Amino acid sequence: MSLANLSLRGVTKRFGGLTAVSSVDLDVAEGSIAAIIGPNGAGKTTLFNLITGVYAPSEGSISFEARDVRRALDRRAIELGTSVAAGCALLGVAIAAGVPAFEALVSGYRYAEPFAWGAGLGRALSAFGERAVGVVLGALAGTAVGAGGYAVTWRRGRVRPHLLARQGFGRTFQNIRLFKDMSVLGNVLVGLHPRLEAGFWASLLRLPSQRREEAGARAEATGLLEFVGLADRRDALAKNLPYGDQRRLEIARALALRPKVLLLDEPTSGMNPNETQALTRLIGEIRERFRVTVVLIEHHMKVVMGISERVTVLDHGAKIAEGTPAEVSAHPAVIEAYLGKGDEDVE
Amino acid sequence: MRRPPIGVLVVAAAVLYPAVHAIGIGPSLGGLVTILFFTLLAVGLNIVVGYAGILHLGYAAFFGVGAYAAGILTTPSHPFGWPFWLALPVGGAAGALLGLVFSAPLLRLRGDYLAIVTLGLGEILQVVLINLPGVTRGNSGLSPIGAPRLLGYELDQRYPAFWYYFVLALLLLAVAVSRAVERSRFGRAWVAIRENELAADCMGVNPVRAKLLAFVLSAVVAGVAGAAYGSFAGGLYPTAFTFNISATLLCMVILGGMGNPAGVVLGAVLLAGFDRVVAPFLTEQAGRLLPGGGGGSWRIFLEFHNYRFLLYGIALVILMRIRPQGLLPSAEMREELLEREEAASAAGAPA
Amino acid sequence: MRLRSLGGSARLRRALGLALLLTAATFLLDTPASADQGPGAPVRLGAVEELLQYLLIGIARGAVFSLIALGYTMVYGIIELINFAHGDLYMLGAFMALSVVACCGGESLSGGAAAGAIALAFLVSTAFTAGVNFGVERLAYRPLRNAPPLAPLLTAIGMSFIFQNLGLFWGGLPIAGMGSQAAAPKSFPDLLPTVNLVQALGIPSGLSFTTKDLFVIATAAPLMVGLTLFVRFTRLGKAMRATAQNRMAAQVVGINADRVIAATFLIGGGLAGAGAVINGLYNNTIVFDMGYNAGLMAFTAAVLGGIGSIPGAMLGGFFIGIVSSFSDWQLATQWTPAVVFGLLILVLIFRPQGLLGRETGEKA
Repeated sequence: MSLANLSLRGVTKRFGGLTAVSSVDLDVAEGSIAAIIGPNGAGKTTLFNLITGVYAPSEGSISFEARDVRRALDRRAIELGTSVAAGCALLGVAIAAGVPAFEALVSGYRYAEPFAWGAGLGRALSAFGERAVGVVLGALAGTAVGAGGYAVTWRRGRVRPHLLARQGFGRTFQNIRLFKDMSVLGNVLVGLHPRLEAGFWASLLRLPSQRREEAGARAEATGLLEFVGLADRRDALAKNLPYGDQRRLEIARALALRPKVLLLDEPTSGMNPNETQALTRLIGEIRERFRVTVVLIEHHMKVVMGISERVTVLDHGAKIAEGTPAEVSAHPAVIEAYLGKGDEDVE
Repeated sequence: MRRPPIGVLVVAAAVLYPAVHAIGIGPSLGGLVTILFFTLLAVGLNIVVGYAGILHLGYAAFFGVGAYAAGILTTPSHPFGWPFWLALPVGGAAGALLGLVFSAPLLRLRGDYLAIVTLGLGEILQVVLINLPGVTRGNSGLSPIGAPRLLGYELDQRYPAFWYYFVLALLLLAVAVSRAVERSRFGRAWVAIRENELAADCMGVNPVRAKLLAFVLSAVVAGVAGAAYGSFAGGLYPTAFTFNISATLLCMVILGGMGNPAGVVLGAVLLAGFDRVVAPFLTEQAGRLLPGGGGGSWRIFLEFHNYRFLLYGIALVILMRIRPQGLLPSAEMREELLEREEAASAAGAPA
Repeated sequence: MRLRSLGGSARLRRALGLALLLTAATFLLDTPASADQGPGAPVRLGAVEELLQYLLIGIARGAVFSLIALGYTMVYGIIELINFAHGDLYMLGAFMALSVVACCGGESLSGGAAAGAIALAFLVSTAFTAGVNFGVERLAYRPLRNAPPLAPLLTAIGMSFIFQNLGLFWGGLPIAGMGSQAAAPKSFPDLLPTVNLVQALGIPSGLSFTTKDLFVIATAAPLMVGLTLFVRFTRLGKAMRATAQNRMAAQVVGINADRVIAATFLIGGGLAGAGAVINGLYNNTIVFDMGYNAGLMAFTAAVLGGIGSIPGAMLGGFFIGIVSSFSDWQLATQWTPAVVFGLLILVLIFRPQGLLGRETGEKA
């Protein structure tokens, strides 16, 4: 087995009293196709959300290419938090003494007469001096509110899917989340967003460099649509596509990120057998062509058995079995976990 | 098929209007300048409401900050005495700064909470403007505000043609900026977060940064508009920046069609036109027909600007029910309609 | 957790702690120490008495905020809509109350007749606002049940405009009590006796706690207790709680969600009407745009208490009442809205689930 490039250690996620994922270890080898299966509510999608940064794990660590994916984020947060705190401190000073200082500055001015600026500035400074205590308190309170506020909002929303997307995680969603009122092409172009470099001013002025980049992006997006077989619908609105095409579009959009890991959440759900077969083939092609590691959540056992190299089984948030498809399907715990659910998914 | 150049025709008509007016037809230029200011603001608000999908209920605050920043710098009752042309960009910068400082911590809030917070922000600013008389002159108003100087002319309200063309130019600029950004990756990021924030986030779009850009850009438009407005009006009063203005602007954006500057211009011209042209006209006619206005408190029913919010409200309620995309929906919506037609004709075509 | 929690004691402690902190903060803000002349305080009060005095004012004011906040919180709890028009509905209730009282004879009423007029005003005004809210839900919000979330909010904003404009026109009607200026504040007949109970009971203090204050609390408290009991113990109340938690699941077990939502609007509207009568009798002045500010204050109260939580809205209302009264006292009346909205923004940033609410896991 080659070196794992995505690895989870003891990842746990609790919502209030409910443990959705409990202490899961998972290793996915580079370039492999790994499947995660399990009954409904087993925590599969939660696991995806943890990997892609929609949730922060309550415990455990996730590393990618031997680096903890969170550490870089924390450093950024400290930098940003410092500047927010500094800004709030300035605001605190302004609230504490800004108005008296302003009034001191302009006091003595008579309508439409020349004004002695030097003296005015001196008065403004001394107004600050007179309120030294207030100014210091204002600065301290501002720093506290800024840093505290940043810390609180950071802790609440410390998960940043967009940063992980930029590190190479592309995903699709169980209940399709396309940009419904955007064109098919537009959806894929959003996936290209992080790799486009045109700055705000270049976009505003529509500089040649920006136009070139846009044209290139359109070409690349069209190429991706061709690959998934949607090139002829590129100007349609995403919401008007049939269900199966919407799933393909989600894949094309995720591929636009040039992901290193592609996470597919039930890519064949709601598809008929023909579509399912075609999609299974597509997944294989994706791996070949984009050299991407694929992790998929799947209910169709045929798909899982056909293409995945390793299968992980979750039940009630915990990993109950792991191995090759053949090993897993013979595993007693797996059979038991699926027994209550009926056989419709386990063909 | 190319779209007929309606936009070009509208712009040409707007440019030529003063010549028509010169021979004595149509409403006065001064009144139209007010309409243009509203339109400019609505186009600015559209960036944050229409593109980024943030319900902004405190836009007048940004307008006010720009106006007061430029007003304080240009008015002779403060010692700064800046020329208008320097103060204009400062107004925009002041709007941007306010947008940055106040929206940064708030943009992670959910849509409806965010709406209420922007509303609260507008109210706070209103209170601050009233209660810092040393800076803003409070309720008695900051007046006069310096007029722009050009070629030795002091271009105050006595030159409505200048103001007409100046604000028209600002408006065209704002529309051009909106269009350019809309078509760039930034515009796509806005639409993506509006449509599905989580999916956009997972596609590498930083929602907070995208919203911040929309907020700040629209605040710049408001700030510049405010700076110009103060100089046009000649004086600034806190009551010019109340929630009513924010609400009116919001109605314009939604009536016209969120996300489409052309639609927003239509909405703004319709609503502001009612306010500044139709209502005064009706009031005058009513006054002529019923001298004395029917007497006493009945007069309020014959002063037609009093129907303003009733109309706005009814328009909003009906629109949300039957045509939530507005009168002139955005390009995406048009594509959808087009596609339905195509599908229908394809289905109807003989095999 | 919505419409359900009576709050753990830890949470309550935290809320009280924050209240103390804010109070301390308002003290710290520098104001000229000489210029405190409390309104209607002829006798010079000691510091503690003054604090108590403003606390009492805040509680009376807060009772009305609580009643309005309940309407916000109940509607939000069930359909996640910030009913922007709720404050203006309250204003319409006030105009209805004024019309009723003025038609009965207004300022000239006294004794039993005044009591009768007040009772009638309560009855008519409450029924009126409840009916209007019910009708608006039916006509404007119900068709939007599956629309994108901002559509109902925009509709509510539209309704708020309509209500406010109707209030303006109402003020212009040539009927009793409206005066000659449509937009001017109307004076609400002062029908309640103003006897200072502190003096009447012979307590040696300059404090003022009048029969008016007592009236506010004596009418608002039973309404709140009644609502709490209703939500806890009746079938409809339980259905409301169930629908608030999970509309789909409630429908599955046979609860008619439309009926429950309609009932919520009915009750919320009625409480706003009652609050409007109380406010009219207490403050004796109403104006067509008063709903905007009152609505924002009450909404802040609802958020503060954890929107969706009924006890939260009640506590939040009193809390906002006290904060605004203290801000009137220590800062200045004209800064009070800024203080309250600043508080709203801070709460939304730091604790969007409210002081009494619990954090909920969001579903991706």
